[in-house]
Amino acid sequence: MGHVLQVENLTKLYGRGKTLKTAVDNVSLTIDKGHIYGLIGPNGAGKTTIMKIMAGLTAQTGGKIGFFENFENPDEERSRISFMLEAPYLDGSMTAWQNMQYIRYVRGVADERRISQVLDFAGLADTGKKQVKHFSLGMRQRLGIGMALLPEPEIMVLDEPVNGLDPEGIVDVRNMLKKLCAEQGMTILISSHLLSELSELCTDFAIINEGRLVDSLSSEELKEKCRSYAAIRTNDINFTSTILEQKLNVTKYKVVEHDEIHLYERLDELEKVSKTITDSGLILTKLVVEGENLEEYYLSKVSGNQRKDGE
Amino acid sequence: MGRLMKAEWYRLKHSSELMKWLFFVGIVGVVFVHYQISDVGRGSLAQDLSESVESYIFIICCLSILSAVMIGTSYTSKIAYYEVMAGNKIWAILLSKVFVSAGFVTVISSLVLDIYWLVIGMRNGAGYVMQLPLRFILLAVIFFHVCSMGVLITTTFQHIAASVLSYLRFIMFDSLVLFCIMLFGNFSGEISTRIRDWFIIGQLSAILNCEVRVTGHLIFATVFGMLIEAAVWYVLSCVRMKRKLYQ
Repeated sequence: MGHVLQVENLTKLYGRGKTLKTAVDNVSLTIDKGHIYGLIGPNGAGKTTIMKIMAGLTAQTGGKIGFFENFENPDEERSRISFMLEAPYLDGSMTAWQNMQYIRYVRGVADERRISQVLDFAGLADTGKKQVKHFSLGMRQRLGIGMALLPEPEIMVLDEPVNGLDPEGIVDVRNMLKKLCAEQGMTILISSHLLSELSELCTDFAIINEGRLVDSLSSEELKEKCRSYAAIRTNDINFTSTILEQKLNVTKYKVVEHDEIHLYERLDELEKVSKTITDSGLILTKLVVEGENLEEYYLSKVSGNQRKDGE
Repeated sequence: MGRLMKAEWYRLKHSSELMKWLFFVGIVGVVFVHYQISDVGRGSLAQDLSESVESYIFIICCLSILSAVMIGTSYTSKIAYYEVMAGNKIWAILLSKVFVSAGFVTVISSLVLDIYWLVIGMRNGAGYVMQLPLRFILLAVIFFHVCSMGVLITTTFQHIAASVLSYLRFIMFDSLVLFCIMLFGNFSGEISTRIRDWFIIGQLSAILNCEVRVTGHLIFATVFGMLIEAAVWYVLSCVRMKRKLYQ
């Protein structure tokens, strides 16, 4: 089985008339088995709304969702999927073990020993009789992840799972998710603001902005797009771009901020580039080879920076 | 549905809600017994029952709120959402809540009532009481009716504040209708009696009046009145849950 989660032309509208708001606008995604899919977007982009629709907590206005290629009745497949949305849903008056036991009954997990295994993994084995309402944010997040893991799902949908975790906790969750994917073939859909974490973890990315899917690419495609460039700064950036075009026939570059050019060609002729700029009477203050990362790529997509790269 | 009932029962046993509300019920019970014994409980059981309609109306309102709050807290904390996210059927989610919460409150309140009747009967004598076991069973049906309505009203609105609505439904709706019947009903006694049998306050009056025989119509109206109203709120809950308006 290839596609385990498919979203086709998903739309969600809130309100009516003058108050009509589009939370999700015609989004289509396809997630394959064993992949870790990162959903990236600013606050209010629609990531959580998409996940809530998948979880069955919100009805879509248009489009459809399919799990394991079942579009007719996706509710039937939800027993194979776990969700952790926003802050974990917990009963504050119960202990960690009791919350897990409740989920064990709801999800029909036969082996009670699994609770101890998951609590141990989540670092909550020694919470004893402490009620969840006295847990820190990080402990609550760990418990929420544990509750999602308990039924050994085939797909996990996690909304900001590392929110509130300390750096060690973030690394633990990252390693755990990678291991689940590699060893058990679990498929994971994860949203996070920590783009550095997602770039280490995910095999695929989708960038959502204002309810729309801006871009969707694999990690290989991201590496290709986030290619190296020469960062150039001078005392007159506009004149510099003119010089580069006229004297070196450069076309693949972009101007970022107000005083820096990213040059995507002639990276093996930087001496020539440098001489051309200085011979034109300009003062060169920066010339260094750098590479875009996921954060820069994401920002370029959502903030609409201009790109003169022939694409 | 079995594992959802297990989950619901487990949550009731281990969350603080049950303890808080059993404490509340205990206070209400003590007030009720004190009022009953000091104002009413000097006579026989039959006399006590016939003079206690207002007290029982108060009890059923409390039971309705108790059941509603038990379910409402699971929606306020959103822990009830796991049942939806796990892909459980709507009917299984609803019925598990009704049978566990409403069933539990009905059993406890019926047991307490049983003990109270036993104490009064042993202390002051039973008096002229016809069909006592049948009256007890019909009261248990009424308790289950109000508790399950509290549960279904709360699942319809998915908020603990709906417990207020369940209280209003019984204390205001039934009273208003019966008041209208009294005000405008120049019907023959038989017709107005049959109409009153379909409303909980009317049922209580008839059941607690030990000198009047429990009729077949009263039994029918008590049981089917519960089923009809349960069906209405069940449909409303299903419609609401299908719209997926979880916040």
